[in-house]
Amino acid sequence: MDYLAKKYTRPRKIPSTACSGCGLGINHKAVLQAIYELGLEVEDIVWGTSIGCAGRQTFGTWKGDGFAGTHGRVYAIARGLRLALPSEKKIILTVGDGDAFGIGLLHLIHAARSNADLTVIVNDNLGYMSTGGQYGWTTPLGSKTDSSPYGMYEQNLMSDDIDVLSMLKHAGATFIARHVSMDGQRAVESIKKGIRNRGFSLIHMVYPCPTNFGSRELGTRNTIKLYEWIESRAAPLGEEDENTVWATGVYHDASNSRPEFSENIHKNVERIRRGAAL
Amino acid sequence: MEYTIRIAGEAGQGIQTIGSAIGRVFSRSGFHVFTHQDYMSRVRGGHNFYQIRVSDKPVSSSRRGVDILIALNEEAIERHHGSVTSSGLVIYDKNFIKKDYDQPGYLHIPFEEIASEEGGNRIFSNTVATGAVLGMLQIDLEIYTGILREVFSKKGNKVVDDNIKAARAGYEYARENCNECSFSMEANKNRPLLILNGNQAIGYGALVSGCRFYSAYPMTPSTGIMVYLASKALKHGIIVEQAEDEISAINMALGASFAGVRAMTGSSGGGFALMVEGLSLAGMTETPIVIAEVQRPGPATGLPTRTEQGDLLFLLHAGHGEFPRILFAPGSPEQAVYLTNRAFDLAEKYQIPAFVLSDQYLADSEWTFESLDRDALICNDYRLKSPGLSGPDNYKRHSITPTGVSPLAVPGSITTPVITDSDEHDEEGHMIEDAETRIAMVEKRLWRKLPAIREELSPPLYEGPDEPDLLLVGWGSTYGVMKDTILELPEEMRGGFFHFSEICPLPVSKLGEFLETFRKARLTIAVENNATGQFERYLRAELGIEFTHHIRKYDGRPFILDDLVHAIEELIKEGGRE
Ligand code: SF4
Repeated sequence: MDYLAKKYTRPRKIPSTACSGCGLGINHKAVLQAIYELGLEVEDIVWGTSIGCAGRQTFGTWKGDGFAGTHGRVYAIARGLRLALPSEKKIILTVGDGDAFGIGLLHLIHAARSNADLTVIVNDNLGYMSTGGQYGWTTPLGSKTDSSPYGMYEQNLMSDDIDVLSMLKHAGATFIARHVSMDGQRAVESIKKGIRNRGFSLIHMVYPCPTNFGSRELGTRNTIKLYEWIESRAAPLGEEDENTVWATGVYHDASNSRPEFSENIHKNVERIRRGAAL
Repeated sequence: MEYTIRIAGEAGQGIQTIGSAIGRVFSRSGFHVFTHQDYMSRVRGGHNFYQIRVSDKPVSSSRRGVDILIALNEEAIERHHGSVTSSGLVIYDKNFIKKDYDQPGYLHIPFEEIASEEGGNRIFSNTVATGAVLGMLQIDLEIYTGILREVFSKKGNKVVDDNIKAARAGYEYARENCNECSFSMEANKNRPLLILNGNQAIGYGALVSGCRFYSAYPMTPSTGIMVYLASKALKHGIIVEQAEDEISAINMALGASFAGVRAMTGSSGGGFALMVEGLSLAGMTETPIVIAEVQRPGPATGLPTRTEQGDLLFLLHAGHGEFPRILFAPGSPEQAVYLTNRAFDLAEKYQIPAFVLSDQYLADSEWTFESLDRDALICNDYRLKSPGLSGPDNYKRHSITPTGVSPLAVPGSITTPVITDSDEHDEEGHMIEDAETRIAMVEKRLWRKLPAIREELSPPLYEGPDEPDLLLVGWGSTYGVMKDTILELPEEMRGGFFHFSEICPLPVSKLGEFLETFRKARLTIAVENNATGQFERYLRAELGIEFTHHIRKYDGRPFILDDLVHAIEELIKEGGRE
């Protein structure tokens, strides 16, 4: 993490508290790299999260302002924050898949609906891994986890023709992308676009969890095997084949096309106060 | 004979694997075991330990002093060497820790080297370590090899054989090289004991009570109940549904229960906070439900992997509006089995919510016990079946009866509709607003049922001399440590304790013995794992009693035997009544 770490993170918190071989660090670095390439400083950003593996390591290391809310509520907290903060402050949320697509989905959809200027990076370890490894809402069908010892058989938000990203698009999100940790600079570019969009942006980033996902589903904590397993199921949009689970790239870019949540509210409050017609 | 073994190191090093294997070997050999775990809220790194107390007599708490410390890293030695008793030993692998402690009380065992040489792979280090401990204690290896067979049979014969070789090599190494070992454990003639932790016990209690639906959301330290039940789908056909959040979890369980299926949900405090609306719905619609709440320190996310008894008053008062509820707080896994069973029975009998309140300490502690008394388990079916219905044509889900309990029919089981409503309703279950029906319903739901429910509960358990001079009073997971503490106190102190596991509604008419003993004792001490003395306040409010002292702990850690004994001695030194 070198210069990025030095510039943006608390030195005491490096090396990470994540398991060795965990892919979260790669996602984390992509976010920091995007921030760096946009020329943003520590004071330009308020970093938020809720709980779980994703938050502990990313938010926990950020040098600047930050908050960790309760599980799933961080999107609502962030909207309150958005209203109160100056519009040039960026709000970046790094959260987990369970937080965003499970317990927090209703709040997430309303954050998208209102086009609140937030950049949400959903770090997806394919289930609930900090509680020991239970399935989540993007866990591939058939996966063995603690709560699906016979293989996960429930329809979820990435099975059949359902995709949580299209739900969010129809809810009103103005920037949406999907990546896997191994996407490197392509992911960084998407995160940059997300941060630049003055509106609701979400980047879904799948990453390998050797400790709990790998050990149960693949029967091994071998990091390389798990990386290969994910990589062989990912392909850039347009290059998918029958094995593709995660098509990667920008899904939807309507950046700056809809009024932003807080701007819209402030504008209307202003109008009402000026005595304009209701 | 009793020993304490502590395995310490980083998360991910296999502390649990070693600990639970050793615990199982002991229990299957007929020894009594108490284990407890201390882990940080991280999947990797952090410092964790697993402690096993083994004895030929029943044990129900942990000690500070350690006889064998298995140190998996340097930090483990630094943190715990002070706890090792004068005749105790630290075992470690100097090649792995990269530090040599060439001094009395330390035994280097090359776990990794033995694992590679004998098992063919260093991943067998944990098996070597387990074998070594058994060697030091001179416990026959046969039971352990049996366990290895069970655990690894799915991975094929070679893995099983390699593990057994590694275990044997560790065993032999310890026998040959441990000059300071003076441990001995007489092979116990007793039959094997059962071993369960608190979460498994609640899950097991649910299964034997006919629970067929469990919905929950992962939350430490309650997840173990869901995982345990999910693993029973094959044998028992129970459906475990992982909900998108706890609001959904409790409402799904209520839906299933309304349809006549025994249903349960579970969480920790933060998740239960989301269930509160559903709890109130259960109260209004008189839908049976069992809720397990496994406490961890709050507020908010708090300390996810630690313990506290901080949610008692929250649970007693949770839910808007007024309705009856039952609250059990088991003190051991054995109690958890029976109380979960009674929670199911009473929830259905009175059509109310029933809580089983546990905490991280109980959830992750393993206890041994002789056997389960199947005859003590209650399995009544209170649902109305068509043949038993005298006049199905005028069935009313909320009919007013002298006991307040309406016949419980489920949709589809009878010809008349079964209706309920979250609004105030009439006997049929349809929404009303008039004052007269409202009063009748409150009387039925609350006042008529309550006296009968109260009579169902049992008074607290007492252990100690008649007319104790010093009286401890506690609830829930402090049972074990109070029990051991009383045995440890000097006899002239005349110490005894009351343990409440059946907490709400308090069976007031059966509390005569408690109140009398309490009045006569010179020192009365409320022992609680929280900051504000919630149970003490509850007893004061319900019974008007005042304790002379209290001992409270809110560092997120459980009471350890030596510490509680010490705290009591300090209180006494300060001198009697305040
Ligand atoms: S449990 Fe999985 S996701 Fe969490 S830190 Fe470990 S490897 Fe990473």
